[in-house]
Amino acid sequence: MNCVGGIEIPRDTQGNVCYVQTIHGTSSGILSTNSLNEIRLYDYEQLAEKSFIGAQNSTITSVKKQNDNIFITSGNDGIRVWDIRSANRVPVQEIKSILPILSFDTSCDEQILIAGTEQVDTKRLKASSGSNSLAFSGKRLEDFQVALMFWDLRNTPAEMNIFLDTHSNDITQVKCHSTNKNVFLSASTDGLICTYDIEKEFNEDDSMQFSCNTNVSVQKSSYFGQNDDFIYSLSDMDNLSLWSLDGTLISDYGRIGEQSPFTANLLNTTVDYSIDCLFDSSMTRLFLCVGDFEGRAHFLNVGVSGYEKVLSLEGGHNDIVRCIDCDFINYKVITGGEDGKICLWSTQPADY
Amino acid sequence: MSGSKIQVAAVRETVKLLLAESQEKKRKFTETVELQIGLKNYDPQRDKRFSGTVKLPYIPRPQMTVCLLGDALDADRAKSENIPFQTAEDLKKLNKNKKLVKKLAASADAFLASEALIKQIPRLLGPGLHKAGKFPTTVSHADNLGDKVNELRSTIKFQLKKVLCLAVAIGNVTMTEDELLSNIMLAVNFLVSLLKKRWQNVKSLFIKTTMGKAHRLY
Repeated sequence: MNCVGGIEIPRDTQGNVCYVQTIHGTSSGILSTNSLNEIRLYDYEQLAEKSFIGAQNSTITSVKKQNDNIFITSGNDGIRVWDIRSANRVPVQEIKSILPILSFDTSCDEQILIAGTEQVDTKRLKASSGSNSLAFSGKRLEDFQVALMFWDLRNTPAEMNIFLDTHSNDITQVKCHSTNKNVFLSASTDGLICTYDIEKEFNEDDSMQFSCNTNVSVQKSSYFGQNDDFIYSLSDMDNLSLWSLDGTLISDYGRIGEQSPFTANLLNTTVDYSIDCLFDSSMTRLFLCVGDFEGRAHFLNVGVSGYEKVLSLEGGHNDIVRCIDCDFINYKVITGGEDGKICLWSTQPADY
Repeated sequence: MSGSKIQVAAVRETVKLLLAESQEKKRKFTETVELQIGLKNYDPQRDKRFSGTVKLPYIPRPQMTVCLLGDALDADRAKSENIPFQTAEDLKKLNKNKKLVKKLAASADAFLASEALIKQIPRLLGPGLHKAGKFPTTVSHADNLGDKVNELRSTIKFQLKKVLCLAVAIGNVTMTEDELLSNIMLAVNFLVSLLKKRWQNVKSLFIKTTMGKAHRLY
């Protein structure tokens, strides 16, 4: 693939490079967040900045594209909803959170928002909030380390429920099923991926269906497949494993940087880290995107017998590539990195 | 960037000293040997998250208790190898009672579970083992139970929180100099492999027994 455009975002006031941390393509441009906790929109033609959408008061931990115009971000202080058509830097909605949020998703009918928190020190939290008792949705928060919080989005966002027992460390990922509004998963640094169904029972003790113990800290996890029939898990040390919805391990690919039968086709490719998994629903193929410290990135097809490199992105970045988004219909890829650059990549369908 | 910055011979001398000091002033319990790591040029706010697990060549925590939640076949195997176990029937009897599940969680440091049983655990027990950080690791009928137990005892986890230092138990004072040395070298090299700038991210390395003083390796 060829780099057909690039922009370096401005440095911070001390002259340090800002990291480009998330990137999403929409019909009105490229939406990106950076390490100054800003949300900015760029055009596809020149990669020129179109508008400064707004900011979060602390590190932006997660971003979700709700539709072409509406985006949601999370941070320590809560959730903010943005309409990217307006550039007045004011969120259209804000949900304050007493606990720092690391990950979230909304159910496919957009009626429930589920957020996973960082592991918290409750004593410090109580001290900083100036109150001796914390509560959420009428439930007193005691004897817990980490939480899954639920908000009802139907009218003004309202606290709905909270789970305090499902994990023992940072909840790094929450993903809702794309067709079943009652089904979602949570994944954590404790190594577990848990799946839930809240249709019949909406309580901690009975909603959980299955738990997959990956034994390594989970960085990213989601459903994939034509009907979201599988789950992938990518760890902080770049192990990839695939699971069925009933918690059966389908395949463990091990660490991406280590030699194994799965990585046999990658002998001439330097792989220092994984970036993300992307699913091409038109071809029903799962890709693992990986990179090296010099800024090269590659799409690896995740096959039954191992990885196969299908395309490379070279000559755009010169440091870690942090985020990637792909338009599998128009063969366009956008990337962002720790070199402060946003790059646009393109190819003819025949190359792919 | 590759190549270890610590010399085996120098680490060996430090381990000798550490063990000698522990011998001099014996404690009433087995002291743990801890590796303490200080990092630099790393910003937890914006750099990639940092966490990893690795299996050490020698068991650092032999006293760690492991209980099997087993189907009939695995329960028999556990019995013959003197590994504590609970069957599906035992778990059903807990009736999802929070106090009883908590008691089960507290009864061992870690759990294994048979493939057939592990899927039922959320529904049999609720999230009690999850909360305790003790949700079981799967064991298949083809696995050797004793090996699986030792794998759990040998696996250590590095996790960086908001401060630039971390500590991990890599052994104890009843281990030999060679065993401690192997564990230290493997743990250090693994840790460095997780860092973007390798040794340029390492500020300091210390080893220390529970009650002893810290000795610098790097």
